[in-house]
Amino acid sequence: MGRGKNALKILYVHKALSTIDAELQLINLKINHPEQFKLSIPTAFKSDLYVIPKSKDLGIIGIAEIVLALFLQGQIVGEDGKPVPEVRLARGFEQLFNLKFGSIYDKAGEVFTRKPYNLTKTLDALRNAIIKEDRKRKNR
Amino acid sequence: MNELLKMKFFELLSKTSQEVTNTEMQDAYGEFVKHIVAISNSEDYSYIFRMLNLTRIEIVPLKELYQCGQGEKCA
Repeated sequence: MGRGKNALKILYVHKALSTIDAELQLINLKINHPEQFKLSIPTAFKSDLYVIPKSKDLGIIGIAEIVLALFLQGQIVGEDGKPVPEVRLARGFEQLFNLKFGSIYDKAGEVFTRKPYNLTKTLDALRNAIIKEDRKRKNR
Repeated sequence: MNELLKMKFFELLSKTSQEVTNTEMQDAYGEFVKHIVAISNSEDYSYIFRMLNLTRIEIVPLKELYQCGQGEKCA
């Protein structure tokens, strides 16, 4: 490995390639020997919450819309105090609501294919639910 | 869309003229590894495989670029 001004970058390029190769090997093992990995799945938290499938304002794309908004806002942080990547937020919601996004990036992409007036359909519905409740309380 | 390629780690590696400190590289690499682990925790194996391979494809030329620049044997 070189010792010039790029030695540090070369070192980290090697580290990154080793990490990626190790993860690729791990996937290969998971595919070929799924039974070996069932026990290693963390089971400490098992939520009993579910989203009604294909509900009018929510559903899986609705949850993806919430994940996307929280991610873009950047105020959900990890233990290190830094904003968490979209995929980690998605994982949290998957556990909380017992659902699978598959790829959160694809689901988030579907949000952006909506018509402009429907772009924030779920967030608008949540906002309207609170406004409705507020009116109800004030009219008591 | 590959989020890994938008990370600071890639930014540091891609700028061939930029000098970086060990701490900078270490922090960026730490974030990169965390993101890889997060992606790998998904159960969508095709997606993980695709993302990791696309990332690898972007890193290999950088390796060759830097190694050639250091006077090592170029592929």
